Amino acid sequence: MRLLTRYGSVLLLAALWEAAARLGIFNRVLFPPATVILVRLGSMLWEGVLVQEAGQSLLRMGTGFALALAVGIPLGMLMARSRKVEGFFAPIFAFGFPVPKIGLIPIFLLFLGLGHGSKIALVFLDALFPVVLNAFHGVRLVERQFIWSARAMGDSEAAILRRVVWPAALPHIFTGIRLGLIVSLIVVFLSEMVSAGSGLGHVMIISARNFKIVDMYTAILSIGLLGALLDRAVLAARAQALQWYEGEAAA
Amino acid sequence: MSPDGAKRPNRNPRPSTFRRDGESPDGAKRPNRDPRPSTFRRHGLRALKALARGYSLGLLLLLWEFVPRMGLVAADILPPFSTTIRNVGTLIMEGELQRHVALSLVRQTAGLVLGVVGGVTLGVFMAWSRGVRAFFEPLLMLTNPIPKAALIPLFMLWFGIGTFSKVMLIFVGTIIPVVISSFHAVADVSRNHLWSARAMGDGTTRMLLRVVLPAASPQVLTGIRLGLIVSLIVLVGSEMLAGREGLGWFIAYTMETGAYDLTYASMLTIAVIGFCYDRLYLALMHRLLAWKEEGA
Amino acid sequence: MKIVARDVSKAFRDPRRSVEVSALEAMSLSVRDREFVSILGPSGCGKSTFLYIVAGFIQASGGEVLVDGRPVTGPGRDRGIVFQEYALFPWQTVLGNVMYGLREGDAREREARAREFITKVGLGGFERHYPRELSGGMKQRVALARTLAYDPDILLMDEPFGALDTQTRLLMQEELLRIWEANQKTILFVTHSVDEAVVLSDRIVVMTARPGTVKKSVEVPFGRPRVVEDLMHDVAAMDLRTDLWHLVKAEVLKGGPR
Ligand SMILES: Nc1ncnc2c1ncn2[C@@H]1O[C@H](COP(=O)(O)OP(=O)(O)O)[C@@H](O)[C@H]1O
Ligand SMILES: [Mg+2]
Repeated sequence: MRLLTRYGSVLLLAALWEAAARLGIFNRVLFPPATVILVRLGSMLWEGVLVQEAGQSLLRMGTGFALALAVGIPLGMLMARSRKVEGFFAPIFAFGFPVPKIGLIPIFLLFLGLGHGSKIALVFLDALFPVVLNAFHGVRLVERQFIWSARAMGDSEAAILRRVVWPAALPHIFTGIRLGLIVSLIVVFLSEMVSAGSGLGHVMIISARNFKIVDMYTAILSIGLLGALLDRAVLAARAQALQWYEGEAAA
Repeated sequence: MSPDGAKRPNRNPRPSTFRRDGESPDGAKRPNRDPRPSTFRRHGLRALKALARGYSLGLLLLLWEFVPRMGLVAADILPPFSTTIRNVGTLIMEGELQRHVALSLVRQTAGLVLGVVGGVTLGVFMAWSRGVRAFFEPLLMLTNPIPKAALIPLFMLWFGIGTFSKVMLIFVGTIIPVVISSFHAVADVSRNHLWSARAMGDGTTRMLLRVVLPAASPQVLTGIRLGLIVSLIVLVGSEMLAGREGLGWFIAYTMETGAYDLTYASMLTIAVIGFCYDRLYLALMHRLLAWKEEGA
Repeated sequence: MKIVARDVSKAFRDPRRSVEVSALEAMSLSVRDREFVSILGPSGCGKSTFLYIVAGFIQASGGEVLVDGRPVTGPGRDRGIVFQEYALFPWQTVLGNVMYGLREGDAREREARAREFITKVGLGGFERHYPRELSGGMKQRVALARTLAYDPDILLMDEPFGALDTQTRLLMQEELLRIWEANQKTILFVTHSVDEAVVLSDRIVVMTARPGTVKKSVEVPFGRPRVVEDLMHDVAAMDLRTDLWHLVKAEVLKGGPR
């Protein structure tokens, strides 16, 4: 019941959609009834097609995203701690951050081919920027007195990094992770639409081009669900890791 | 300034290498300059210093220039930087590039303006009215995590493959983060500020313009930036996928026809446009947020 | 002498205007073992800067600081610090914060020691709370416990009670007196409050406006143990406060509008 009131507007719109499609107010081909799409989603899930395609997308996105985290977090932290490293990388990141990296997809296709490689590289590159920048700011914003306190208690630089800088920067690092995830998802499906023989993005664009409208809606719905699921996962991980942070910002 | 130029409180006041007019990183070693050099010298020095600081970018460009020249990669797959610059020039002379750039810019700007105006308005209404909030919050919570790429075929279907469909994409890509950030920002405006304005006799509109929007602007700007970045990606992607015009389409077209040298020329153009858009945003932000204490 | 500072000076580069700002100039000061010395001065005169140089967080531009006869080259466990802003780690509980600096013994012994100090500052029962759940006064108690627990010889305190309301402030002053009288440490205590300096110290060093240096060193003639309330109405203490206030006021006015 609480769910009903909470998502009232969504349910209302879905019901309107259903009614409009059934009553023929909308073009039935362009707007198939919501129930038809849901049934199709169920059957495609059952047949396992969707799972397989989603697996392809996830593999590409997951690999690129994981690489971006593995490279980006240490790099951003290092940039904040060393002026030499910052001096080298800061201009690159300042210039590259706003560039829509999807525009560079031809380079990746030329050098890495049509397979997984080009998509992974693109996801990596696009996710890298928010991850690096937020890790950088996170470390830069650590209160000077935290570091001084630890130093006064005799901590080595390595211990300070692990016991003070890391936890203090973690909220920002998570911001970077979440932004990186948002961008990764967009880019993986986009690159699959532009050039791929598999993946949810590919299914979506092929269905649209062949006027398999219900299939297209089904693909869109699954992409939305996947996005929501991963976003939830990151938020849950964040809440778990940052229990101390709850309400800290307001305090 | 920080690498992405965003204005944030800096608790460690060591001058960043990227600070606009900060000292050289090893300030101590620098000979003491004439305290008031001529404007020309000051600007000249500053430009030189900025160039020297961006040496890593220069290094990348050199790499781009010499890797194909030395034959490490075939020049038709990767034409050298200088050749690419020349190609950009040729495309501009032929009038081809401007056409696509202009169209992409119009689409981007129209969608962005609509998204920002609509987003801030909706955000204010959501923050001030329970009913509006109850209706839109669940919608936003559901649509926000949808990867915006999924909207491309949908909008192709609904709105066609022309400019309108692309503007709608950018509009949706911008409005969602802007609504969310302005809703939170407006809801967070300190009650004491509102009361002060009321006490000085401000009506709702005046208070909105003079207190609420300025106080909310830092967070709103953060949302706009996210929208800007997401919508640029989506714009280029959707142009690649459908249509016959726009920079994204031109990239895909030259690629398909094997005119790789032109592909590189247009990719360089897109990179520069993205960069300029961002600088514009930053300049605006620094103007709007000049009141914000950096060290606070 | 426990701490000796000789002709310490410090200049900061103003990042906006690329000029040098002299924060300290020829500041000299000696502190005896187990002495309680307050540094009193208008805000912006370089008190914190001096304290941070003694702590080893920042380097002096000139002069030197000796602790136990050895020049200070960096922070050390012989000098504990308490900041006005508490600087508690927000990701650690009260217990975690107080255990942070403990090295000796196994985990259980360290926890026991931390609990002992938490109780000592009157926060028994709050071990599992996070800093954000505590009031300002409680946070400052935790910060004090964290520093006392690993037993540094010297306590460096930078306006530790400056952010507290008057009542809490008086309570904390009494508490500090009690703790200090029980296990005497050398304390260098920065404050801009004349009352606080008089109540707590053996000696008060008044600083000039920026660039800061020693204007006058004043012995506080009251015996120990002290009771804060008694000193509030003591005639000699009132005279001392008046004298000190005149010294400080001259410097505040010299500094221009602030
Ligand atoms: N990191 C810094 N960079 C530049 N100026 C500083 C810095 N720290 C302190 N100052 C300046 O030095 C002077 C003394 O500061 P401080 O020691 O904090 O004063 P106090 O603690 O007595 O209020 C002030 O004018 C302050 O602006
Ligand atoms: Mg101070």
